Amino acid sequence: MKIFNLKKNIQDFDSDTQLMLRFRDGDDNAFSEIFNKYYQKVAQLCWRYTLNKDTAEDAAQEIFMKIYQNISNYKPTASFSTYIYRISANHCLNIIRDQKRHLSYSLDENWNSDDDNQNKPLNYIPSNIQNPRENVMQKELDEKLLKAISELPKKQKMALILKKFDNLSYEEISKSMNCSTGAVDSLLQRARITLTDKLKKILGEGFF
Amino acid sequence: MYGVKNKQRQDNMKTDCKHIKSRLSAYLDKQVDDVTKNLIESHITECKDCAEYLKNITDAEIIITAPLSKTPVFDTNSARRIFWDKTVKKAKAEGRFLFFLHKYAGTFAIILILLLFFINE
Repeated sequence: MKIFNLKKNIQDFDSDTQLMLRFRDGDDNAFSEIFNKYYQKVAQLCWRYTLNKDTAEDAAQEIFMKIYQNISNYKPTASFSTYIYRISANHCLNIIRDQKRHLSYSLDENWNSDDDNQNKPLNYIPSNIQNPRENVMQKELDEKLLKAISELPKKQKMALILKKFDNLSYEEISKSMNCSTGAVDSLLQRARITLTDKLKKILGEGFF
Repeated sequence: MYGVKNKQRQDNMKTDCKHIKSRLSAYLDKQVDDVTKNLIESHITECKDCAEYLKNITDAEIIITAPLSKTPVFDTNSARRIFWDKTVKKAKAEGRFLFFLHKYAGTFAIILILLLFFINE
């Protein structure tokens, strides 16, 4: 009798997990709904990691393909969000490992429609350290900043992206990256130290 | 006596600073408990070095990650069409090929052995 009680109904899961279970039962429309809901998040995560739009789009397709192909093994133990972040993070970390190529980044890609001057990196510089405007061309600085990010060790970069842009907790990041929360803490700490050192080199010691 | 006490105080402060700095990243992410939060906040009001360190790592993160906050446009509808029309079809075709290969692996192996046998003859 207890066995029956332990078995959850589909309604007991969150809406995304319900969609996955519907898809597991053969409903392709449910997968389309998942795709619509998560494609932007996944593609953006891939872009932030690879800094290349084409690579990010290809990676996002491959991530959804992995989910599609592994549906028969899908078990709703964690939230779907954690599940998709885990697949995405692993996939991104493997992109570099497999291809071992220097991924290019471009500032000329199509930016979001609400893009304006406010979105340029220099406008994020706190007012008390805006002096380099006069000395460094904006594009040159943007490229240097992106280069600094691209040079971060891959796990540090992934942890930073998941924390800063996807707003995941340390526990969620640890589940997504298959490591402990202590390791996440250490990765983020080292990433911040590295970024500070890199920014000192870019802007000069005088700005700190 | 004063000098010894002062030196001890400075050493304790250094140890504190090392500990505090190691927790500042988690503090920024609001991932420390209330006791640590209070400890950090009271320390940085007194310690210029740690306060500056906190400001530096905060600024560096804001400035360097700024270009990542605006992503390129990703067309979900187009991507979904590509997914169903190309990616899934391709995977199914590959799956069929692998299924075929797997199903007839024995037959292929026998044919290969016979071919090798006749070539050697």
